[in-house]
Amino acid sequence: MGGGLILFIEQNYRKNQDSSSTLSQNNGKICSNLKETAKSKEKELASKSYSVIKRKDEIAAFSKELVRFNLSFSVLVSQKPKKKDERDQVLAIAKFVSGTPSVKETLLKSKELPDKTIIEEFKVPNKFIRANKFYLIAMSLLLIGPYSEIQSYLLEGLV
Amino acid sequence: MKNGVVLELYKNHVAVLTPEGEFLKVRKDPQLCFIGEEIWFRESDIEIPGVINKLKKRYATPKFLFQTAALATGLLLFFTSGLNTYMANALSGEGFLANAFDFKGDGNGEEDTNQPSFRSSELAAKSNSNDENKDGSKSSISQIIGESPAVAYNNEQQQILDLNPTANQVEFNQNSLSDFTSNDLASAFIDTPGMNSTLDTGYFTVNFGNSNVTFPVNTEIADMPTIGDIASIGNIASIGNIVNSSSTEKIKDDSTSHSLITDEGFVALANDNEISSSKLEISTKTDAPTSTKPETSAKPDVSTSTKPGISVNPELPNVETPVNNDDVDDNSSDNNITLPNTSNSGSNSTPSKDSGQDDADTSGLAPEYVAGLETGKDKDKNDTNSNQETNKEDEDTSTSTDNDNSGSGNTDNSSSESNPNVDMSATCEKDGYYYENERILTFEKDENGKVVEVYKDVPIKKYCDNSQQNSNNNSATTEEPAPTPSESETQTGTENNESVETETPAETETPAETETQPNTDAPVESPSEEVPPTESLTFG
Repeated sequence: MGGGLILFIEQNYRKNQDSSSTLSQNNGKICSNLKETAKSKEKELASKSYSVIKRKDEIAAFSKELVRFNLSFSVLVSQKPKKKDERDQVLAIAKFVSGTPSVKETLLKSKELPDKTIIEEFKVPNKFIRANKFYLIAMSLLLIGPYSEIQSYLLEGLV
Repeated sequence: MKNGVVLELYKNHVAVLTPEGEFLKVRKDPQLCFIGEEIWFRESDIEIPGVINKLKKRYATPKFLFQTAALATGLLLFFTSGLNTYMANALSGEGFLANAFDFKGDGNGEEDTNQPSFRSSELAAKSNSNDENKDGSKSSISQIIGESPAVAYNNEQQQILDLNPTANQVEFNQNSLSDFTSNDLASAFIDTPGMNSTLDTGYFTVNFGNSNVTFPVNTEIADMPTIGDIASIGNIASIGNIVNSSSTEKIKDDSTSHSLITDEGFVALANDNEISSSKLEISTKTDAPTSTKPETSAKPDVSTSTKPGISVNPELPNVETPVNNDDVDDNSSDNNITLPNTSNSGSNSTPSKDSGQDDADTSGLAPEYVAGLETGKDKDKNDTNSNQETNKEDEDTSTSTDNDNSGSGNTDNSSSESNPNVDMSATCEKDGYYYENERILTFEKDENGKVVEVYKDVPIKKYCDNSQQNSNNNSATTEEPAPTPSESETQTGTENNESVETETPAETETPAETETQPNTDAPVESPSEEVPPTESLTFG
């Protein structure tokens, strides 16, 4: 990519410098091709960067929402389900929480997890919920909130 | 590899959300990434929460740890084991060096057997003993430091010594003896004392320091059971001191020390020294050779008396032929380990040699040579002489005359034999040579153990004839210095453990040599130089 851009710039420079040279014709063809490729790549980059920028905003918003729940990424990083089984189960619970509006409302209003409903639904020990409380809240919030980019990114892996 | 979206930047880490819904803390430079970016990272970079996990991660360099640990343990084992063994050998039991070098096996029994052989080669033995004496002061250091360098230094002889300590010593003696025998007595004497004293001092000293066992052997050869015992006990330094003292001027001190030690040989040395000191100036010593001979004869008696256990002793008195016996002794000494015969012959030959040398010196050769030989041999002989002296002690009066001669010409021990040589009354007209007192720089050890320069007046034999002077004086000059210091020094430091450094003249000797007992060196050199190849050949 970089090499191509450099070439492209170089070609433009030469084209401007000696347009009357015999080589200019050949160079013109190459330059046209290069321009096309560069444009296409710029679009790609723009799309990527756009997604990245969007994701960044979403992350910032998500972090702010986490703060309201007395959470932070550092806490999530330090306290997370260690085993993949637990994580899957927590993700399933988060999906359930995000999918059921009653539970979602209770979570958003009281800022606490409806333990009883979850225990009844998934027959999970209370200890498990307490242990993975932060992660559970964060994932449910992530699934509930308008974080399309992050959700898409997650869902890719979660599928 | 894992991928994830950067959620937050820390100091050295990055919080990442993986597609699987995992919040991870990854060790990565936060400056290389920005929030919302998708990064790839190794699973090993994932920071697992927890103190223990932190430590694990931080210090988890298994290869390094294992390699370093293995290396450290290996080195530790190597060095510790080596040091332990070495120290154990060095510190265990009787002879420091002997033990360290595994001389134990050869140890006492062989030494005893070898001793007679050494006697046979008195000159060599004397030189060796002198060297040993000189080394005595340094022996402790050499012992501690290790004998290997010394061994390496003395390629021929030392190596032989390592293989068979007794045999090596014997070889030394043989070499010296063989040299004497092979060459005319006079020439041999001349060559041996000067060359040996000047050149070989370092070697021999080192060797002796290494091969302490040999030292005791020599002493024993000289019919000094007590000395041998002491040496075996490991008080080589004391022996060396004694010998040095004997060689040095402090005769009285030596005598006292000897008497304290109750070693006949030491006492004899002291006596010799006294005699030599007292009678050094007295030039009339025609009687000396005769007296020496009786001494030799007496020595065997003494040896027999002192060492009844040794079969050689009885034989010693019988054997008195000087040169032939020496040769025989050399051969026997080569075979020495068997001993008694060889030892007897050696013992006999040594005294006889001494007497013969003295006679020859007095008769044919210039007294200087004799003196030089004696002086050169003095140190070697000091031990042997000490043995002889022990024998001589009884006959001190006779030996005293001898000592006077030696004192005039050479060191104490040699003085007894060489005394006749150094006739201060000799004149060019009568004898073709004359003795002149010259100031010679010698190195002696103080009571404190420091090497001090000492100027001593030593009678030096000078030949009136140019031809004789050239031939004799060269050797004589070289020899003289050693003997002269020996004379002056013989009496010096019995008490002080003085490895008396009788560095003969300022002419040839260097301070280093003087430090290492030049007298002994000189005698040692000639035998060592010439002999070793022959011996090595014979042995090989």
